[in-house]
This record gives sequence, structure tokens and C-alpha cells, in this order.
Amino acid sequence: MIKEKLAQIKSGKFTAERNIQEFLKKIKQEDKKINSFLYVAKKEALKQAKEIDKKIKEKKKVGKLAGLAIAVKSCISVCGMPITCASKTLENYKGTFDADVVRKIKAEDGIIIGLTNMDEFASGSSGETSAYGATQNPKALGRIPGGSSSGSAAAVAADFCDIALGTDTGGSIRNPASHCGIIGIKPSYGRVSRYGLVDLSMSLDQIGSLCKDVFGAALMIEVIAGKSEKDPTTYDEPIKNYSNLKSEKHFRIGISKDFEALCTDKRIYKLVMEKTAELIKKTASQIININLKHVKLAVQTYYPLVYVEFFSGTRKFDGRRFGKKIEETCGEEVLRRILGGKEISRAEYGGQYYRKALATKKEIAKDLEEAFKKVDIIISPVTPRLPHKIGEKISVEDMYAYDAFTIPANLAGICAGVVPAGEIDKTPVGLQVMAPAFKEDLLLSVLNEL
Amino acid sequence: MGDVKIGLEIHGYLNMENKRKLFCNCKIDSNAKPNTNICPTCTSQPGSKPMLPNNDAVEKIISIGLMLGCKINNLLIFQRKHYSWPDLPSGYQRTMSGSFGMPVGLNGEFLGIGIEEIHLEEDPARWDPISGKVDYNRSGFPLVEIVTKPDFKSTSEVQTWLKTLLTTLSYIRAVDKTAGIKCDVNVSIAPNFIRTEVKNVNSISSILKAINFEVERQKKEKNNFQQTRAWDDSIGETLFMRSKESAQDYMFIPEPDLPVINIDPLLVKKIALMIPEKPSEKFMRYKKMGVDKTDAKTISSEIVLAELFEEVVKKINPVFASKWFRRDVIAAINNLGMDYDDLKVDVSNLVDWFELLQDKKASPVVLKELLPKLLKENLNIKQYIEEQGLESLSDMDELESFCKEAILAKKEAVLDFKSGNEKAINSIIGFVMAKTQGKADPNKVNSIIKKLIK
Repeated sequence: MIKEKLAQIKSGKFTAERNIQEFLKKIKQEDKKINSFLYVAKKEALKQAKEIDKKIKEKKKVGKLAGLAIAVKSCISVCGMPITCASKTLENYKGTFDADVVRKIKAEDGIIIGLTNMDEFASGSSGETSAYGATQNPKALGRIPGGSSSGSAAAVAADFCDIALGTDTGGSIRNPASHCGIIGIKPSYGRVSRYGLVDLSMSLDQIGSLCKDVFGAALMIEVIAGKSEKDPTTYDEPIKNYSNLKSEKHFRIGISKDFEALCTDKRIYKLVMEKTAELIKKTASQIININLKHVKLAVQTYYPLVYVEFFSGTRKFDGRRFGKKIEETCGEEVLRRILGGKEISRAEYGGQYYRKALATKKEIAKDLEEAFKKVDIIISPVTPRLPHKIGEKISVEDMYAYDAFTIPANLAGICAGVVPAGEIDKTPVGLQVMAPAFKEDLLLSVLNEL
Repeated sequence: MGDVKIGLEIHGYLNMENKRKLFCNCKIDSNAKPNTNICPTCTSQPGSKPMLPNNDAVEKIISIGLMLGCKINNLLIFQRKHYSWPDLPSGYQRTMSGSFGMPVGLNGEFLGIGIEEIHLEEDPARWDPISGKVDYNRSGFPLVEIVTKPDFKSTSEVQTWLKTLLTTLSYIRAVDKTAGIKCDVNVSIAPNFIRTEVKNVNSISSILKAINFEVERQKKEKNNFQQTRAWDDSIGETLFMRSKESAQDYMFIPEPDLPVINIDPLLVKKIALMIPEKPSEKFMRYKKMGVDKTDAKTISSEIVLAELFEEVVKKINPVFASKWFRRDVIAAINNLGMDYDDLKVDVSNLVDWFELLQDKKASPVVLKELLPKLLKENLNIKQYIEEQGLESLSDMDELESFCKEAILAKKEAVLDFKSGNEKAINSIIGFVMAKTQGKADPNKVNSIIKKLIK
């Protein structure tokens, strides 16, 4: 448990150095099989751990993350480390500056233990599009861990780190958190600075946390949240002490038939409802049925936006400066998005697709806004099906459908999180809680009750 | 020239008070060593994002819009304009133009020419095609683009208008004068008015040459078609670049990294209050005061001069002031080799100078001599005249005795004058002036001598 470990490190009973060394040992022994890290920052991490232990010994003040091992997704810039985005395009590219979130983690004495595997440029929901090989699901070997924050989720599930950073554009934190049986938080759009995050879809991307317990995930959000002048899409909303989790009751929980219809594996829906029933009993909450008539359009709305923004964001990878020309070095899915985005952005299509998608995005956001007038939170499954076996051929449509339940939160800019609901076929299944924008405190207290 | 329609797209560098780039805090310094004023944002490192647009640039562009009579939009929306070129680190330029763009100013009018729109954009880096080196210092400099309607009918009209535009913009110090302007010019001729856009014309004289060349080319061309051409200054010709069909598709999208920014109507009002009178308005006003046309034109051509002049005429007769202002004050500034913007003269001293002149407290000769010192060292002229005893000789008896001395000394000139050579009196007056060290009033001396000789 993160809270206990932190107390032990701060009191000197356990050291940051030992924490890091134990993880390094475990990574060395087991990650060949899991393939969750693309880079392990052994030297840097040990050096930083020693400095923190010294501060503790000298009774100096240490930060909120003192001595914890933090894994960072390979699309978040860390100065001097290989920010490959799991692509051959950026094979030799090293970060030239620290992302805002990395700067904040370092300032709170969190230790970057390494950079994790992921779907190439975060384009995928399975972890299989990485140019450096797929990541195994540590909780269901042989199956995908989900994606695109595949390595971050797997590293947490396999006990290779304390907390991991992921990014979530349409479910990339929540989807692998669900498949790997851990906690994953996608904060509200604009809650966490994206300065230093290599773009997938700028209007949807958000950095969040993955952890085995709610406290750790909440603590990380507390550290990385806040307005930054380097990312003007961040909001000046007050940051609460998210890690100070309070026991709350009497939630009005929204449930939608529209989600049930989209759930291809009905066992998942049943399990999620059972877990919800437990929560209702425990917290004396009530269920309210809500109507989300546009959520069935979420996937179709999402992809034109992602394609167009991804096309734009990758124009800098023209081979002139950062690594190689992306179209000549990337994988199939990345290329599909670039070419699709280029086509949609052309003058003759720009209005027809991109702008229509933006309009539908607003409709979906309105649906959720209306719902939150009647309910405090909304509960749904995380994915409509269990993770497939690594290498199993599935269609592009089926792959995209993985995110049907998670995309609406991105389109609406609200916050959402995932907790384990149980197992089906010895495979973890998560439950998603959605809360209104900037109500991360509410979200986290509900997750804590589950 | 026949029936011609000409429109201009004028690009200029904004003159930034805070010397910061448009989307980051890097310094604007055209003389810095290559790649010294750069950061992740203006070099577009993976993961970097733009900051909110520089407030100073936003205020400048609003003031340009107001100065040119535009309607100011209440929203700032930037677009990404995509193209691949070595000088463009992100592969797109952030601009307010484009298919779904929202310019700051719309539908203005300046001296009879319609202003289509005014918008803000960022400058790319500087790329040297020979060495292949890129200097990112310039990347992110704020640029203004002023797009006119095709309302010009001749080159002379273009020339006068552009010069007045530059003077007007200098009134609000909105554009960096040292950086010059760049223009794209569109030209079409009767009867079909098939439009040609000429890119990269970088001076007023080149603009005029390019227009003349285009008019002639279009007259000669049998199968003229809509096209984009480039101006080649070295040969004085426009060269074919592309046809309308192969026009570049910039794939504009709204910049997702920047929120839509509301322009506070109060800010626009505040800026509007600070907008000075236009040069043309000042010119008209001066003329109404009775100021000579040439004087009015010269004084209104520079905001610094106009502001000084307007202070002076609060106490001094405008007609009197304008003559001395144009002939002597401006000449003195020019002789000092001073830039008008560097002029730090305390206007009350200049007003004193005019007062001494108007009230004949000191002679013009003395005052003219002291003018450079006043402008350069901010001389307290009244005090100085008093301390140095340089007041005009007002004692008529004393003056008369100087004149008598002169008549005796310049006998030949006296004879000349008497025999009808009016000019001969000048040497007699000159004698008096020399004797009095310039303190005598030459007009008075003149009348005393005439009286004495007769």
C-alpha cells in the first residue's frame, strides 16, 4: 500500500534506495517476459533515491512522493531520456526538456524509474502497435494488457513500480487499467498540463495516473494537477487534497441502457452491475436511469477528430529534425491515422467531417451535462469485451469498439476512473465511474468506496 | 493604365514593447547570434505547446484594426496552416487567416480603399538554402497581415496610399519600421479581370514595378488564366509559380492547443481612446488653423513632430509657429542626425523658445543659434538668455547709435542705397548685427537706418 510505504520511507524505516533497488531487480528478472519498459533509468533513479534518503536522514523536508518509483509513458518528455513514443520514427530521439508533470513529480521527490512501452504514438487499444513488441498482461498472460498505456498498466500490475503515468485520449488509461485489474484515473480535460506530452489528439489528450490503490492514484493527480502557463488549455480550478480520501454516502448513481446495448460480452455488464449493487448497499446510494442517446456515436465522432489532430501534430516528424520521416518509419495504424487525417483535413472535406465531428462532440457533452443535473456520478463498464489474445487478428472496427465506453468522457472533457470489478475467465474486468468536470474529489471518493 | 484592379496583402513585423515572441517568452532581437533566443515552443520540440498569444501583440493588432476603421471581432481564434518547408519547425504556421479563420479586424476602410481583414500570425524561422542552416531566433515573431480589397486603380494610387499607411501606422508605433514590409500583390485587368497573385514583393518601388509588369504581361497574354507568380527583383519580372487548379491546400484546422480567446469590449474601448488622430485628420485640422499646406503636410507626417507642434500652438499663433517649426525646428533636428523617436526635448522649453521669438524678447539670430542646444541638451532657454544677457536690444537710443556708427563705416553702401540699390542696405544692417552680437532686431535696425539716411 502506497500510504504505508510513504510513511516508512519518510520515517527512515524503509529507504528510497531499497525501494528502487527492489523494483530494479524485479524488472530485470521479470520484464523480459512482460515487456513493459522501453527504458529503465537505473543510474538516474538510484542517484535520486540516495539524495532523498540523505534529506530524510538530515531531517530535511521531503516531497509528497518521496522515494516512490514512478514509471512514465514514453510519450511524456523527460529531459535526456529516450522519448520514442514506441516508434521507430523517434528511435534515437531524447527529450530536450521536462514535461510539466515530470517537473512536478521531481519537485515532490518522486523517482522516474523508467519509460514504459505503449501503442505507437498512443495509436491503439491493445499495446500491440508498439514498434518494440507487444506487452503481456501480467494478470492474464497471453492476453493483451490493453492500451495505449499498455506498459504503464502492466508495470503497475506486475509490481515494477509504485505509480505510473499514462495518457488517455479515448480510454488509454482506463482500458489497460481494466484489463490489468488496477486503478486508472483520467482527469478532466484541462486539469493536468499537457506541456511535454507528445500529441495524439490535442483537444482530447489528458495525462493521468495508474496505481494499485486509490490513494496512490489520487496522490499522483494531486501532484500533477493545476494550471500551467505553458499549456493554455489548462484551467484555473482549485486543486483539492485528492489523497485525503473521505468516506461519503448517498450517491445518486446514473446507469444508462445505452451502455448495456453496446456491451458485447453481457457477462461484463452483469459483473459491473453486481459491483454497483454492492456500492449502493455500502453507501446507501440510489440508482437513476439516464438517457445518453448520442453515446452510440462516440466512436464515429472520436476518430475523425483524432485522425485530423494527429495528422497535424505529426507534421513536425518530417525527418528534418526529430528522428525519421514518420510516414516512412511508422506502423500500419499510425499510417492509417495520418493518411486519414490528411484526407479529412483537405479543404473539400474539412467542413464535412471534422466540423461535423466537433458538432457531435458537443451533443455528447450535452447529454452528459444533462445527466449530471440528475445524478452525481455515472457507472458503466470500461470495455465491451474481454481483452483478446496477443496476436489474434481482430478487425479495425472491433479494435476501435474497445473504447466505446471510455471515449464519451474524453469528448465531454469530464473526469473518469476505473476500479477492478472482478474477474471473468481469469481475466480482470474493471468498472468505470464518470464524474462532472473538475469533480475529481467526488470521483476519487467513489472509487475509494468500491 | 486602363482599367485595372489591384489589391495588396501587406505583412509587417509588429513593434513589440515587451520584445517577446507571439507564443513564448523568448526575446525578439534581430541582431542576436543564431539560435540564442529559442525554447521548446518556438523550435516546436515534441510535446511543446504554445502559450497564450502575447497581450502586447493582441493590443497592437487591435489598434491597427481601429486605426484602419475595421470592425473588431470579439474572439481570437488561431488556425493551423499546414505546409512542409525547412523554416517551419512544426509543419504548420499559426495564423488567424484561412478557410475558417476569424481575423481581428474586418471590413475597414482607409483613404477610400477597402480593408478586407487584418490578422495576426507567427513568423517561421530563417532558413539559408545554401548552407541548409536554420536560425530559430525569428521563429514566432508576431506578424500583422493587412489585406485590402482590389480597390486600387493605378500604381500612383498604390504608392500614395502605402506611404500614408506607413505614416499612419507609425503614429501608433505598431509596426517595426526597421524590419520593412513584405507584400503580395494581386492584379487583374479589363475586360475579364482574371486575377494574378504576385508573391514576395518587398519594397514600394518593387511593388510598383511588379504591377506595371503584370499589367503589360496580362495585356499581351492571349490565354491568361488565374495564377500565382513570384516577383524576381533582380530581373524585374514576375515568374509563373502555379495555377489555380494546383493551388496549395493548407488543410486549415482550428489550433487545438489554444483556447478561443474572448476580446474584452472594454479593452477595445480603452485602446480606441488611445488611438491618435490620423495624419490626414491632423493635416486637415492644421490647414483649418490657417497653416500653410506644405507646413501642415510635413508636420503631420511624423507623430513626434505633430505632438510637439500641438503643444506649441496652445500658446503660439499656429501660422507663425508652423513656419518656424518646419523651416527651423525640423531642420535643426535633421542636422543633429537625431531620430524623431529619440527626441527627449521638454516641450515647455520649446514653447518658451517660440514665445521669445514671437514676443521679440530675443533676436531670431540668437534663437536659431541656440536651437540645436535646446533640442539636444534640453536647454532652459529663458534662463540661459537671461544669464548670458542675450535679450534683444530694446533701447532705441542705443540701437540708433549703433546704426549711426554703421552709416559712417559703410559710406559706399549708403551711396549705393541712395542711388536706388535697395539691397545695399543689407551690409549696413549686417554691420549692426555684428556689433550687437546678433542681439538687435534686424527689422528694427532696417527701419532706423532708412529713417537716418533719408
